[in-house]
Amino acid sequence: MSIRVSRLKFAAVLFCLGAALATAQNDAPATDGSNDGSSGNADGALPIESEWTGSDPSAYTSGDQIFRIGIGPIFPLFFINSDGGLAENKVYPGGTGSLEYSYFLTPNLALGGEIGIMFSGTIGQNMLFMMPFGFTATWQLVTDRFEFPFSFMIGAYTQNYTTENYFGLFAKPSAGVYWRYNPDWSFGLRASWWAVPQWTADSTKDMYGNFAEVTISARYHF
Amino acid sequence: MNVISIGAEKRTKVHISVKLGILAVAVLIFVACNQNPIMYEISKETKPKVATIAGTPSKVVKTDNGVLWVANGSLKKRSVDGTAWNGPIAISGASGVPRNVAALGNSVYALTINDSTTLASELWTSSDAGGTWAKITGADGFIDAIFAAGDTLFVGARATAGYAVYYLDGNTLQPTTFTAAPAQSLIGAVMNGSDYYLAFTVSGIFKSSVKTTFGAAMTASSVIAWDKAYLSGLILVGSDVVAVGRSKFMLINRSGGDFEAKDCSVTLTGALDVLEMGADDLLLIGIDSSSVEYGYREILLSDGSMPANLNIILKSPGSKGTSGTEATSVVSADQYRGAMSKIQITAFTTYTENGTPVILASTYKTGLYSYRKDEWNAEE
Repeated sequence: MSIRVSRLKFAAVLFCLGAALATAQNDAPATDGSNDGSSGNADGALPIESEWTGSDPSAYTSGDQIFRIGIGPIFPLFFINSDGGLAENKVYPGGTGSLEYSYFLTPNLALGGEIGIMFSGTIGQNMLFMMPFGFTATWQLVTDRFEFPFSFMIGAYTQNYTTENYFGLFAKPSAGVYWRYNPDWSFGLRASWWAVPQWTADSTKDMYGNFAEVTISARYHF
Repeated sequence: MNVISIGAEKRTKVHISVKLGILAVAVLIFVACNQNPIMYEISKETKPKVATIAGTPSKVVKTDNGVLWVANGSLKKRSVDGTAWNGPIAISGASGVPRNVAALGNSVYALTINDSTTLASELWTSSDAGGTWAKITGADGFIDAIFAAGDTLFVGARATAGYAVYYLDGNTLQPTTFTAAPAQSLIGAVMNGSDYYLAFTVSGIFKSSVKTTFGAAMTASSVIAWDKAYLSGLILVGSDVVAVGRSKFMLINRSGGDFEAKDCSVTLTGALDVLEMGADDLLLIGIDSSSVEYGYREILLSDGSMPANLNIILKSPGSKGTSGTEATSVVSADQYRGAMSKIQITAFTTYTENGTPVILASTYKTGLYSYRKDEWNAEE
């Protein structure tokens, strides 16, 4: 199998994961409309008891939007070289920040986009900069005032190092936990894994970078 | 409403979206394949060492008896086959600190500057590897340049009456006369055959067969005038006199005629030396690319001289040319780029240590660097 075909398959797998998450549908909470049999008083006044039974009202509905900002450290995990071995990690932990927008299609599923930036020093006293951006798909669970979003981002990134640049494919799964402070704001933590493949004309210099970020985030709900 | 047709329409949209996504991914892969392998280059980085000779050291010079000398406010020396720099070497009687050095035969010359109260300079010499020193007198003004050329030492000094040049006569300095006195500063001196060449920043290059008297400046290139060239370095390459400047031009003089100009597209810092690699020698040239990239470039020489017909290519260290077999000064282009692309090189010195070529690079504010054991790093 040629290297180019294997790269395509790798990238296709990443994208299909995101597409699969984006097309998953959540059933609306069942509302069977059943009640306890009361149909009102004899004089026609409204029943005292609620006619709704079953699940609680969703915290989110279709059309809800979130704007998130996050900041925190980023850690280079490991780098895989072209022959599948581990290259020596010569990147120091750095910092990262990101902005994200999400639009809820259903109470649990949201689509949106994200843009971020990171910087890290290297062992040679140079600086590595990256700016990923792309589309996101989020599946969120809510329990009381705690919210647990699971996201997958796929897009591209630009990378700068000394006088050189790179532009290529980027993917990032994330998981977070937020506490809903009030109807407008929630705060929490998010952990993400950066998958940063780097393919060049010389395939012996291909590398697959892997980073982990842990950010504190604030989300505005509207 | 036909539920089946709605579902089919949705599936069609999903399939189209997935196909478009895969197409976008394929485009990203295609675009990525022609870019810099940044993470690979980072994997080739080496951890910087602490420079033993810090600050902005002078050019390293070598005496005929195999001793290397460098000054950066203190004087240090090292045998060409040694393993470490020794010093500081004291200059007894000197009132300032060593800032520059030159070598002639087995003698080393050290320029000391006293900048504590008034700017004053002194020139000292030792012929016993720094054991004893003798002061050289005769210069009027502040000495700002010392260069060995062939069999003599030339000294440039800023005097009240203007810029003056001296040559070494025994243990004293004698004034060199000019038809039209050059303006400061002396930036290089070489001897080609029986002729002396002196280069000045904006006055050009002067040639004479005697060290006592020089006429007017040589004819400049038709492409660029001397006062626009801003010369920064002068070197003898085989039988060619080569000058470089901050004007992004290289000037080559073959057989004493007019200078040919070669556009280099980057500022040349004046750091020059020939790296002898057996069959293929390289001219190393310090560069300043718009203050974004520093380091140096290489020119593959032709039988020890500059390539004919200005067929000159400034190639990056590690590049083996279109043939893939050209000589280059480094084993790894990636290691060079990570270590040296931010380093401003002010002077080169090459020599052979135990049969292996070594490159020493004096830098601006980052100390003395060296290429040893296939790696660029600060000199320890």
